[in-house]
Amino acid sequence: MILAGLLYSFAGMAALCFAMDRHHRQLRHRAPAGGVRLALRVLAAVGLALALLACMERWGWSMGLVAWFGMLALGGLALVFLLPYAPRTAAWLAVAGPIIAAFLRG
Amino acid sequence: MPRLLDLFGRLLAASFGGYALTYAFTGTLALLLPVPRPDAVYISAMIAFLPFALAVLWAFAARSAGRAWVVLLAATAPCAMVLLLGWPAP
Amino acid sequence: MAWLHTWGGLAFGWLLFAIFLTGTLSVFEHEISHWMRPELHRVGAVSQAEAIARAERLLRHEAPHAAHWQIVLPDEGEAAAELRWQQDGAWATRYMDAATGDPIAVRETLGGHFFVDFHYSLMAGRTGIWVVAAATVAMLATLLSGIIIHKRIFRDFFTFRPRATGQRAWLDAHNACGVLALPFHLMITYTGLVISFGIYMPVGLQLFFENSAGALRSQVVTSFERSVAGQPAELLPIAPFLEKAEAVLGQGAAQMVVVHDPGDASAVIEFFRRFDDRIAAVADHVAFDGVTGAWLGSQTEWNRAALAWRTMVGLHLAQFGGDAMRWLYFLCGLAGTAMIGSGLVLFTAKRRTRHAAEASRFDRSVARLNVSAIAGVIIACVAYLWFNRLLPAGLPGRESWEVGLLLPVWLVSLTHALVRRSDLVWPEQLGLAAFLCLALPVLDAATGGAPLSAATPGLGSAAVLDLTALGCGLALALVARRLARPDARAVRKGAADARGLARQNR
Repeated sequence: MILAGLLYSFAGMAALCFAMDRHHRQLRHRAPAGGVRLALRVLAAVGLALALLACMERWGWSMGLVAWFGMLALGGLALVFLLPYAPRTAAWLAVAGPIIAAFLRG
Repeated sequence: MPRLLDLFGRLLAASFGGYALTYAFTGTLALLLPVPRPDAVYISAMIAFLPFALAVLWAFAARSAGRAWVVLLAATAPCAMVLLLGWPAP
Repeated sequence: MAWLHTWGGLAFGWLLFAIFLTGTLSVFEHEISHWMRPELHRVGAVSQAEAIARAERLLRHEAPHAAHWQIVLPDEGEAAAELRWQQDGAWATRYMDAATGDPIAVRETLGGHFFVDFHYSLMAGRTGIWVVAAATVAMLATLLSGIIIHKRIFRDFFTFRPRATGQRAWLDAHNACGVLALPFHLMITYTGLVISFGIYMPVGLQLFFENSAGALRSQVVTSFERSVAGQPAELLPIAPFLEKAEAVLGQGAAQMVVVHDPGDASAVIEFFRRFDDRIAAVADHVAFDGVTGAWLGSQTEWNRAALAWRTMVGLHLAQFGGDAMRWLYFLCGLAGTAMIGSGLVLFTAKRRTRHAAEASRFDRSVARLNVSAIAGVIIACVAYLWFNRLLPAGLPGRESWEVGLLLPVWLVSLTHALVRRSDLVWPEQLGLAAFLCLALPVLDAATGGAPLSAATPGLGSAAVLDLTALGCGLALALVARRLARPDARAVRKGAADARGLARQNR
């Protein structure tokens, strides 16, 4: 559950990040199309929500919320320090993470 | 106003002025909250440091040290009044 | 506002770096204490009932006439039991192997509590608490002003340009550490202030409780202690009460047993519940008559305002939610520490690019003082662990030595920072910090620690501490390498960057 939360957080932050022009360019050397941008933002919201659910499942309402903020921070920091060196790796982690996390739930 | 004097004025406003405002505000809150005394102390303590932080920001955001002081004193005075008048007898 | 952030940050940044770093380390206070008591590494675990029975036997033997006994029960983090008693006003502590009932001779040390002590009071009592409070208000103001001046906070949310030179990379790092963990930083700073309101914002106490925090506390915490009867009476065995206590507190939830006036007719046996499974730092408790065994009462409900306050305290102390939660706090704390450190370095980097040609004496002094404020403090923190193992276990007053030696260590760092060739100060000091961290596991194994002891299943906390030190050492080595860049090239490119940045910001 904890690992799942971290993976979802990272994926959510990454989706949010790649929805931005500047960072999408780091990956695909062009700005995201309108539909792609919207899709990424929706995925980001889903990822962050799943992270929150994972945290609450492990810790309950109040502690889960605290943990969630912590995971968002660390997911974001991991992303920010990885991005300038390996944007593709970050993107792949963001895709693979939730898939792994989904299996962790079961 | 010479820059150093203005700076000094702001620093005093942020520290002493901020503390005075916080003390007066917290005390007033503790006095006026319609809750039992222990609760009033805890609740006012938890809120106390918001005005302090805002006072510090104000001391440096105000157009001049003078203005900073005026506003802080204007906010502190009514609270100080309530506190003085309402202070429980020993 | 920018002025407040820059100069408030500099003025208080050196102090805040140390406060934030020691606070971050305090999250693992108990693990650090365990590491610093290697005599406890080989102790095996037993049931709580057994531990209580053996502890009682030891207490009856060592302190039959004490005013209070305390038994801190073994838990996942510490297999030994900690016994304390108060006699003639003074407290004594012993560690006991719960499996055998034998006392363990443990070296005198403040353990991880040094970091806690330094963090909230700079080891300077009430005055220190006031100073830390002032720095914390400054931290709050600096955080808020930082948010206000950060014009493109959303656009720059994920921006980090490590290859940019001069100030830009440092600004990005500073922003990232600050913005991404902003909820944490705001929460930890504000809750820190709220904890000790009784000392520096006591108006409520002065109004209603004659400035006595104890008087307020007695209104919300039920006391089961009774005044001494002065008549000797046999104390009942404590261990059988555990089951009754657990009926109220929960299975396996007892954390501490306290006996008031053992051997007297007024004796009370009190069980306190653990509170690492809730945010609020309150311990439910239940009490029994020590002579008759009668139920005296319990407290499992709390005044809501007091509970809210203890929730804020608990949010700050970070001793809830298990290891994973505390790791989250630890890593966010490191981010905050890095935010402050990078801010201090940024101050120097910015000034250097702005006055590219000639750095003023002020700028050069700040640059040098930064080194001892950052690297010097890191060195001192790790040196503390080194002194714990290098000083002889039987050395009288070693507790004071372990702490006292840190000041000369830091002064050496300060001297080095002031006199050494400017391009060598950072790499040498960070390099030393890195070495001390990387070599810590070796030190541990060589000086009596048993990180991979058979007594603890899996990886014990001492082993995890060693691994963490290794990780920190690697990180420090990387940063040392980064900071060892020649100055001249950085300054020239930085100046060009600064002009470009200025044009962009207009």
